[in-house]
Amino acid sequence: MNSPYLRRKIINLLALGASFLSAAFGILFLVWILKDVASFGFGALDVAFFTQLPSPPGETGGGLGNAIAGTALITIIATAIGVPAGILAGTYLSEYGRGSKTAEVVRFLSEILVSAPSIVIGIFVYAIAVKPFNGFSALAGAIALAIIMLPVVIRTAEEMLKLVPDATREAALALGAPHWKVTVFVVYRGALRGIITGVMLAVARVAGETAPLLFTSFHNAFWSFKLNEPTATLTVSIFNYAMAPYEDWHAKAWGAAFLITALVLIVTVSARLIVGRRKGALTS
Amino acid sequence: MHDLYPGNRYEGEILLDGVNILEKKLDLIKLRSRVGMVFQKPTPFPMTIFDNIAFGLKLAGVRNKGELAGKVQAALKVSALWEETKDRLGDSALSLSGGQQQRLCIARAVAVEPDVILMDEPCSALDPVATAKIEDLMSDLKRNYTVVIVTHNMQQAARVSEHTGFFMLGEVIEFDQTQKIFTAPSNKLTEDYITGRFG
Repeated sequence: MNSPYLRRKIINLLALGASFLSAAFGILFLVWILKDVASFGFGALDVAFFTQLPSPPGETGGGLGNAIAGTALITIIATAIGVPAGILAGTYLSEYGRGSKTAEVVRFLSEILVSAPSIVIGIFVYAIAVKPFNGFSALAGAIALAIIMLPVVIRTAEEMLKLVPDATREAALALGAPHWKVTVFVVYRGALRGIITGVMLAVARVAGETAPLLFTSFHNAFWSFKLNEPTATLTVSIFNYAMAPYEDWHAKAWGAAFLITALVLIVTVSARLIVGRRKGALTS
Repeated sequence: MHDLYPGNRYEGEILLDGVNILEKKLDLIKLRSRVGMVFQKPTPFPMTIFDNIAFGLKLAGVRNKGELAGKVQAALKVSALWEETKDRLGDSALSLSGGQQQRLCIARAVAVEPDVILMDEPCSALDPVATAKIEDLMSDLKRNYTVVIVTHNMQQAARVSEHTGFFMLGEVIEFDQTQKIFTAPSNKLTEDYITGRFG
């Protein structure tokens, strides 16, 4: 074999090896986190963990039932606020505001919002929804999470809607359909799976947020299903319990960490599966 | 359709039953429902085969389920797609082949019974077999509809049409009976084009 080809082969091999190692380095930490969370957390899960209230400081037993319910409640309300607003904004960007100045501004602001630190959003919501009403509340927590969700949903909705070919829109218009019917019955149909996937990823993202909840929904040692009361969440419970000096609370924090990680993982993986099936449907 | 994109301009007039459709005050939605359109590439909607055709019918105000099903079937029969799709009307239209998708689009246009069917290079994305099927279909459609087809394929123009217009750089150069255009064109440009001097 002559030398230029040998050299190329060697360089190729080196590059391949380097990128493989980098990938392995990244995956290592993910696996490490998952392993630790699973080995420390899984043992803490029992029936009481899901059904009972936290025990008083220093005592063992009890559970995080209220925090599980609180996370579910706040995430659902955040989704109910953030998703419709995000999808409508994405629809505006893709279907109505194309090329307009307003759309440019909205898109730019939403990009800034994506990178806004979540704790800043928490303080902002504290100022507008906690301070004026003199109290932490589940609703304030949900508003904070909805704001974090918003730009993610806007972005995916816009991208997914743009994937629907313009020819399809023209064809629907050519049949005499008004613009809004084209959008609702044809374009949404085409983008549905992508949007659902994006929404699931956004939900998974905010379900794991802690910082914005510290100042908004705060914490509660008891069951609370009222929107105007402080409400416990898994993430804030992890924060509180991990810093407490009690062994049993540490175990509970691991359990909560395992539970929230598992939930986020399940939602994310099923979102990926939906995308995968979508690709299959398009090629068949 | 061209108004959807900025920077287009027209001169002269296009008459549909004596009305100039380039007039500004025209109701576009009404116009579009009178003129069926088939595009260069197949444009199936991302829904089932049945819903693709039912979409236009519902827009036209057909609500009755039985009537809807009847009209969908009729349209698929007209476009010679019924035999291939009758057992899979609930499948996604995207699962059809390119030629089938194009026939579905024709069925969709025919279903709402337009006055004119406009086909913009309907075969340019298709193989010869699928093209032959669409051309057969055109000669069937000719009996009941006015079909206007845009094509860059002169043999196709000669095969399927009765009248031919030759456009160059946006201007109508010549319009006459197809036979005359292809055998004894009166304009030099037309003659140069059909004899292959340019193109």
